[in-house]
Amino acid sequence: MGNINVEIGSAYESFLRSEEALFFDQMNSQRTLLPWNTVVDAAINARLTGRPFGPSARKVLGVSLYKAQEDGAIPDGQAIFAQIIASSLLGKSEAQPASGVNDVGGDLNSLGRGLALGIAFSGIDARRTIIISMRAACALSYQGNIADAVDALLPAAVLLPRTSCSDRPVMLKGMAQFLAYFEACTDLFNSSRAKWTAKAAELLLAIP
Amino acid sequence: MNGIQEAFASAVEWIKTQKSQFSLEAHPKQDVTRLSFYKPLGELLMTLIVLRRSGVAAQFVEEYSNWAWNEVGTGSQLEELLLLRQDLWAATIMYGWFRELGFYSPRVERAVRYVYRTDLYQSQAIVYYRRLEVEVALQYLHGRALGPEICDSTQINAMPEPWAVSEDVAYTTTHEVFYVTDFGKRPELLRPHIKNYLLLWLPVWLDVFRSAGHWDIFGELLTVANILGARDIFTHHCPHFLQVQLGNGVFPGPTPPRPPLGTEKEWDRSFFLDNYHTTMIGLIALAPHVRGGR
Repeated sequence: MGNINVEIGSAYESFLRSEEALFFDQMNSQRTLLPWNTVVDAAINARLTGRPFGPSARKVLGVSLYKAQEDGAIPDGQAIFAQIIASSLLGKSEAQPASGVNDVGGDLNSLGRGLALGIAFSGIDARRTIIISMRAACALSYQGNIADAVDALLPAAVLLPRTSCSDRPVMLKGMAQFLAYFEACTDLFNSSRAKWTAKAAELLLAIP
Repeated sequence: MNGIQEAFASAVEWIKTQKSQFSLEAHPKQDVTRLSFYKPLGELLMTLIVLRRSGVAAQFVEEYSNWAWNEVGTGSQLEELLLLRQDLWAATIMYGWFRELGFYSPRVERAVRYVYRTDLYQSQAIVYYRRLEVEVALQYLHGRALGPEICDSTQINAMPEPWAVSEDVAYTTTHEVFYVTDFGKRPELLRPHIKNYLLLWLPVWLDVFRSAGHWDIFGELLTVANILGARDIFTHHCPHFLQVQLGNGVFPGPTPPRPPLGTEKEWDRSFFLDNYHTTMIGLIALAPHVRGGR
């Protein structure tokens, strides 16, 4: 189980590093407001590398997210997660999604990336994040938007192996179905992300 | 947009105005052995059962139950249908509904038992949820309760890929839930993994059919949420349903509105056929949330 988690985490990290710049080092010395998507990247990378933010960086990041929200810069699908992360960064009490758990509407195209926010900090409700992630992937798959569906499924793929809940068997079954589907879609959509997720499928399926 | 109370009341009022459309008199006599002849009336019975169980619209339920029993000649017309068309096993269901509503005819019951025993029924390739429907109806006759093993051959037991939902898949899902649980009377018959599967994907399916404007399936999915006890899902999605209700109380069916063609009588008939099912599904979905109900 431990090895599997490491493999998934490592694969996920590689995936992120290949697509996004690593901002962590710059973050800790930053004193001005940052673009919200930069904060997202920093949060994810901090989580993956296990390198915590200092108090100043936390404040800059948190305030940046709040400001971006106020300015309407964050797409709807990601706003709820941005709020959670901002609260967490600023040391406020955890903001739980009041809505959105049952709602996969809104800006689905950007939801996948927004969902990645959910895994960036401890204290996020893992089960709820998995549910949102899987429902978003389902809605996107229904629409034939496989590339974004893969994105949307990433948080669930990462969190599910280390989350225990009574409905986990059903989630694992859904995950296996998604990953078999994405694997089948790899050539059709020429998607390396689908291939990566299919690899994760093998790992997930190996979990007892 | 109406609230739940008003939406429910206006849908009941519209159904009341359609009595002649439910009536068997609306059909040519030579159609007496066609099942479609009985379909709206049978679905009205099913709706009345759910309303009665929810403890709402009691006067409407009593009046229309009695009226429907008289429509079928206090059973004689059903007996005739069952013995003239033994392949129409679905007619046994209608008597089951009547039985649940408190009506009884030993002659119809004998015909039902005969049809159920025929080699034709036992061997006929029937969609599983239709067979479930018969089993549920028959339990009203012989009083033998069904067990959770009735889930075993269902589609939902296999937990199909949720994004592959289509009209057919969705209808199979909702009907399996309806019949396995006897419209929510026995929700414990759904095995736990099936319940978890439905709770996980129901919000996505509601979004899919809301976007498609398919309010018939949407209403059925809301009913599934009720059966699962998922009040949060119902509360989140119900406003969309209330919003599309027409001024006359109708919940619009899946057939796109068409321009008035033919005589007024023909137009009334086609409007009824296009919308009665969704409106009754609306009643079923809203009934548990109506004030004064159980």
